[in-house]
Amino acid sequence: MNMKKTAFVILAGSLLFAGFNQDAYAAKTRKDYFFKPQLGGWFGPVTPLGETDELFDTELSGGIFFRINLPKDNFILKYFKIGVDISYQHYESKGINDLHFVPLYGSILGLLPIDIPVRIQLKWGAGAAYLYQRPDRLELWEPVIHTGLEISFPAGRTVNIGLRLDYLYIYEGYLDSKAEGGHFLNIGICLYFNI
Amino acid sequence: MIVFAFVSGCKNEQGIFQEYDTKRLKVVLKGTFASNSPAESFIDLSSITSENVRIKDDSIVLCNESLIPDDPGTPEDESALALTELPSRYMLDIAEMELNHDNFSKHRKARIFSMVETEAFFDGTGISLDCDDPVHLKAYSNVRLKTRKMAFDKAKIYNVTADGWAYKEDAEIIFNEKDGVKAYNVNLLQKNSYYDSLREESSHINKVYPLKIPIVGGMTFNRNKEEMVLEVRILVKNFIKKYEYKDYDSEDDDELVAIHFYGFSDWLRDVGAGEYDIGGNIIGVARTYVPSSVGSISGTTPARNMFVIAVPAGDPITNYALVRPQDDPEFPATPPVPYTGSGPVTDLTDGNYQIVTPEDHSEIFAAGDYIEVNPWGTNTATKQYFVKEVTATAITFMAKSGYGDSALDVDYSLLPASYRDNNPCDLPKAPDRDEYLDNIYSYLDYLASYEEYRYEWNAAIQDCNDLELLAALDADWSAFNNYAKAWVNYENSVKKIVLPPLAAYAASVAGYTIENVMPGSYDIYYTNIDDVSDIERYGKLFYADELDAYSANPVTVGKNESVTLNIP
Repeated sequence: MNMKKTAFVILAGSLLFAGFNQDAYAAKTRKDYFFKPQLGGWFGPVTPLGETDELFDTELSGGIFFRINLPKDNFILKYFKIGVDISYQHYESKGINDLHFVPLYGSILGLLPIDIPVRIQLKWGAGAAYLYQRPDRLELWEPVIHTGLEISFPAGRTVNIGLRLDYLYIYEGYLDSKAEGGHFLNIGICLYFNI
Repeated sequence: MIVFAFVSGCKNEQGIFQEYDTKRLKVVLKGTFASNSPAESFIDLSSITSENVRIKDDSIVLCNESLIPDDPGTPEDESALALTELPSRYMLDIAEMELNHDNFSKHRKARIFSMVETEAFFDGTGISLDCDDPVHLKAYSNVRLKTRKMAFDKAKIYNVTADGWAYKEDAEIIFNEKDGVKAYNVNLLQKNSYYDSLREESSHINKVYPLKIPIVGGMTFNRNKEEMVLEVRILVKNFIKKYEYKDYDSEDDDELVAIHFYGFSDWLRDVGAGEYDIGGNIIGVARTYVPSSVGSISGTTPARNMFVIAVPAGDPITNYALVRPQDDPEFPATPPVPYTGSGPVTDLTDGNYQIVTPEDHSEIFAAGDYIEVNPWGTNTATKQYFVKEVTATAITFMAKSGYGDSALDVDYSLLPASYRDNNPCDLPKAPDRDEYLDNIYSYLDYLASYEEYRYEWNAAIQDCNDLELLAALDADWSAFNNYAKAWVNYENSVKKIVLPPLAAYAASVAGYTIENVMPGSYDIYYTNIDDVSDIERYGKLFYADELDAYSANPVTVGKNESVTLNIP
C-alpha cells in the first residue's frame, strides 16, 4: 500500500509540474474543460458505513472512470454528463469475514453553475456489483445505487485533479424483505484527462 | 445510460450482508466427563481428615486440612486448620476462539462457574459461546481457545513466623477487570510439566493461548445444511488437585511464602516434587453434531456406578486411557492383561532383537514403550530397551549389536512410556537459582538443595546411560540421544490422550443414555471398576484395563435412530 501511494504521489506531482509549464489559460475557459469527454482514475480509502462497519475494516482501493457530454446546444443539458465507473475493493476484517466488491455503475453528473476556482459536480447513478464473500463462499451480482460529489480543478490543458466522495449502497431488499444492504463510502483523489 | 443490475441470485435466498449475521454454528462448552446430562455428580470430599490425607509424588492430593510444606501430616497452626477450604468456583476467561487458524469468534467470554450440581457447565448441558460461522466447506481439525485466565478459588498463602508456618492471607487476582477476586490463576503454570523446560524453545512455549483441543472426527462446516453444534469438553469436575508453590513475596521484604492452590489433577502428566509447571493436564475433546440427524444409545446397567463411552470404531483404546504402570502403588493387584512373560530371543541383526510373546500385547503397548529383559546370549545385564514394534506374537526391540540369540526362555516385562516413573532419563531437577540470594536463609536453602541434587543426579544418569537405544551403539551412541528420545517417547505417549467424545454416566442400575450421537460406527466400552464415584477415584481417569469392550463392537447408529445396548 505504501509503495502504491508513493508512486501515485510522484505521478501526480510530475503531471502537475508538466501542467504548469503549459500555456496559461484564461479564467473563463476553466469551465470549458467540463465540456470535453474525460477518462481517468482514482485512488483512496474506502470504508464501510453504519451496520456494515461492524463487519469490515477500512481499506485502500482504486478505480477508473469515463465521461461523455450531453448535447451542448440545449441550455439545461449542457451542464450534465454521463459517466461510467468501475473499481475493485477488497474488504477484510480481523476475523474470517472478507468481501471482494467490484462495482460497475453509470451515473449522471451535474455541474454546479457557480463561478469559483474549483468545479463542483454532483453525481447520481446506479449499476451492478460483483460480490464474493467469505466465509460463506458466496458470489453474486447485485444492484448498486450511487450518489456522490466531486470537487476538481484543471491542472493544465489536458489534466484535471479532483477529490471525490461516493456513497454506494448495495441493494438486497428484493431477495428477502428482512435483508440488509451494504453501505460503503469511497473517498479518492482522482486524476483524469480531457480527450 | 444508466445501467441497471439484474440478479442471478436465484440460487441464494439471503443477501450477502444477511449471511454475515446468520449463525448456523453453535459452540457449547462443558466441564464434565459425561457428554450429556445427567453428568457424574461431585464426589463428596468432606470426609477426608488430616489422618487420611493423601500425598503422592510430593504434590499434594486433595485434602481439606492445612498442610505445611515441610512437615506434611502435622499441622503447625491450629487456627489454619479451620481455614483450608475446598474450591467452590472455577473461573475461565477466553479472549477469542479459532478453528485451525481461522478466528471465528472475537467475543470475549469471562465466566465464573460455581461448583454445584445446578451449574450448567457442570451438569452436562454446557454453556453456549458466541461465535460467527466458519468457512464453508473447509475441513477443520482443532479448536483453539485463547484462554487469558483460568483460576480456582480458595488459594491460601502461608508465611514463616516465630511459631513456624502460619496462614498469611488469601491469594487474590484480577478477574474480568474486577480486583480482589479471591483465586489463583493457574494459566501461568500450564507448561507441560518438566518436558517443556527441556526444550530449546522453552522460553516461548505457550500452551494456553491458544489452548488447542482436537476435534475427534474433524469438522467440515456446510452452510447449506441445518444448524451444527460444536461441543467442546475440558475435564474440570472431580479432577482438581492441590499444589504448592514456593515464592519470595516481593511486596513484603522478599519474605518466603508458600501458596497452596488448586489446579488440574496430574493424572496424565505427573508433576514431581518442587516442580511448578503443572501443564499438559487440561484434557479435552471437541466433536460436532447436527441436531436434526442425531440418534442415541441407551440401555440398562448393572449394580454399580459406571461410565459408558463410545469412540469412533477402530480407534485404539490407548487414545482415551493410559496403560497402567506395572508397579502401580495404589493398586498393586495383578492387572488383567499380563505385562510379563517369557520367550526365546532372536537376533535380527543391526541391533534389532525379537522376543516371542505368549500373549497378545499389541492392544496396549506400542513402539516407544520400554521392555525389560533378563540377560540372554552374551548380554549379562537386565536392562530396559526401547520397543520398536509390537505384534500379536512377538515384540521387536533395540539393543547393542552382537548379543546373539537365546534359545532358552528369557523373562521380560513391559513398561508403558506414559508413566513418568518408568522413564530412566527422568533426572532430578536443579533447584531454582533464586534472585534473592541476599537473604541468608534462602541462600543456605539453595546450597543444601544443590548438593542433594548433585548426588541424586549422578546416580540417576547411570540408568539413563544404560538405556540402550540406538542399534549401532558402538559408533554413534551418545547419552544425550537417550535422554532426548526417552522424553520424546514419554511426550508422544501422553499427548495423544483425549476424553472419549461420547460418554454417559450411569448410577447403579439406573441405566444410561448417550445422546446426540451422529450416525456412524462406534466401539462401546464400559468401566469395570466397583464405583466410579468413589472417593478413591477423585482426580483420576481410567486405565486401559479398567475399560471393557462391549461384546458386539462395532455398533452402528443410523440417522435419528435410538439403539439399545444393555451393559452386562
